[in-house]
Amino acid sequence: MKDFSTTRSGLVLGIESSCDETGIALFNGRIGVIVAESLHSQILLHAPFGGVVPELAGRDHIKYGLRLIDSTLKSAGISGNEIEAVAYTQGPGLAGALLVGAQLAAALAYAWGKPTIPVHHMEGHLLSPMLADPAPAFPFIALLVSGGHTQLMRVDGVGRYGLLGDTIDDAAGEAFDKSAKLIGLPYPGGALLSRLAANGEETSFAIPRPLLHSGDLNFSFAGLKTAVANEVRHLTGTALPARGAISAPQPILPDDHPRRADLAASIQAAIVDCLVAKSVAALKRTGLQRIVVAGGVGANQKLRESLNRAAEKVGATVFYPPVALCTDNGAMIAHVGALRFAEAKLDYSVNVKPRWDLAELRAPTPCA
Amino acid sequence: MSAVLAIETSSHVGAVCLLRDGVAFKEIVRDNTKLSAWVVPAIDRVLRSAGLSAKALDAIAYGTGPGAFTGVRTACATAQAIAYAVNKPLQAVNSLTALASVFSTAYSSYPQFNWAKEEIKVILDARMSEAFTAGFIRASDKSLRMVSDTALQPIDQITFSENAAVLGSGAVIVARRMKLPEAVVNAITELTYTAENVWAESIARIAAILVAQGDAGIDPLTAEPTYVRNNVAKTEAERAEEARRDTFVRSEESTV
Ligand SMILES: Nc1ncnc2c1ncn2[C@@H]1O[C@H](COP(=O)(O)OP(=O)(O)O)[C@@H](O)[C@H]1O
Repeated sequence: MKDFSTTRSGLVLGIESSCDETGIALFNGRIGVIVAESLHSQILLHAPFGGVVPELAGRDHIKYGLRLIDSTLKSAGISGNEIEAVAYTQGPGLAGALLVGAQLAAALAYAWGKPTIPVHHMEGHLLSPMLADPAPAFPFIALLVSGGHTQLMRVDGVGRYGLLGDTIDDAAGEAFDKSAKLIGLPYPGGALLSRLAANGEETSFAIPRPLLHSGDLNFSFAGLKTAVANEVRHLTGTALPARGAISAPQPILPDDHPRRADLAASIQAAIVDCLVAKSVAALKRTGLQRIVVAGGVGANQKLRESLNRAAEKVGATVFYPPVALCTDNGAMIAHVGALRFAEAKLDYSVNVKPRWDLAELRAPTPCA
Repeated sequence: MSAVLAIETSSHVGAVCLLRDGVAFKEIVRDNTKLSAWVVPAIDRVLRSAGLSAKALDAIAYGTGPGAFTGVRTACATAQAIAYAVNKPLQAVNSLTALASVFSTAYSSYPQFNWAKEEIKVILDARMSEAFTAGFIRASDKSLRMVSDTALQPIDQITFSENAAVLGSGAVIVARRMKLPEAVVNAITELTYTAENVWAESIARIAAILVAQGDAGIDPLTAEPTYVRNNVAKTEAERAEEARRDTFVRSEESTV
């Protein structure tokens, strides 16, 4: 199996452009170290639109992609010819955004005469806790919680994943962001909501915890958003639209409303309760003793505290990726590229996969 | 010896061309091929057929568009990455200019077009009932000068005369809509097809002239496509304003 022992530098360049972050990194697969990285976030670009505008994302990726690649290589003092392979996010994500990073990767690798490694974005998140110190050993449970995903997986090794539970509607990050919007926070409001929640009382509003006792490991967050919308109608004294009326605009809580922090705390507690309960159930069901948390919502302090406490009770340890790797980034892509170096190919045909199920992945197999 | 690689993927046509000492090695697809999957392997085949590696190129050029958003980024990303990787100059050529310049070589087969007197108009289908347009005049040294800059226009407002020098996917649509004589529609269709077939070659020729004139080109790090269509989404404030206006109109109506 092809590995780094015979390579000169052991360096893999990683390119991430699946959504609203352009992330570039150089990872040394021989010694397992991030050598250099750079990131450009588009959060401010999309904020006025209340969500990511796919076309603007694509435009921004091409504006910054090569510049970030150049500054990453320069900061490491590395020339392109010295790297061993170029890894890029092939999916899932926004097609137009994925295409920019993938096309840059393919053309660079071609011109440098190096192989490419297409990477699954969620595998990047899933394995990013391996970059923490201490790193979890296989097998472990992974709680994937981001703006687009809420999954519990059993991880037995690279590419050996079993889906244990999934959301049946909204993702946890989506629940945070949609609720945040209703209480008057700018997009994406997840982190802002959790800051606000610190000054609130989490038992003040009865926000539902859907599927909490469903007996399976699935999640549901759509009903939670509806409950928050109703609370906001109450608090602002707005009546529900009459049946058959043209839908009235959803009221937004003004930012000086006295109950705002209480509502934020209650929302956060509901989401966190669901995530923690199912995580513990997954540990019990599998008998595993390690759980990793990956994805943007993993940055949530309340989730970390509750999960740590709950895991301790069942004798399990929780692992988190380094904070810088919680949001989208190039290092997690370069890292998976290094783990899948055996699959590197002189293949420059770009075929992005906007939809791509993590369960389709297999353990790395050397190519002919 | 000079070797210029050109890439054009702004529309339904994918074209790459290596112009080596005036000889064109090229590949073109127009059958709904996914251009991102096709383009780098096609470049590899074209370079191989000439026995060159990317490192041996003297310059890389790309059609900037305007055109399909994803397509214009495909050509730009590919060209800027190769130019950066092999450290060679990058030339950005307007895709409409490249099509128009084919007139200079192909006109004699189409005596019905009054190309020498009139403006040459390139009209490209931009979907959503719009077209990208640009106008050119052929100077005495046979070079083209752009006289009306690339613009986005409602396609049903575009008209031209029977013997006007027009080409492009949008020109064919307009000619049909105007019910111009079948011979004219056919001539425009054929000329457009011919021009598209040498689209990348035309970009390479324009770039080769620039390179020969000592033009250093653009910095690969700041290369971008040409979009022209820029209004791609409404901000929340704009949507709220529209909703407000809407409600206002509705309540006005209901009081009538
Ligand atoms: N402290 C936090 N509390 C709750 N949610 C958070 C926090 N920080 C980030 N998020 C949420 O994480 C999501 C982004 O995570 P990320 O992994 O980048 O997701 P994706 O790639 O799916 O957009 C957003 O929904 C954001 O609101």
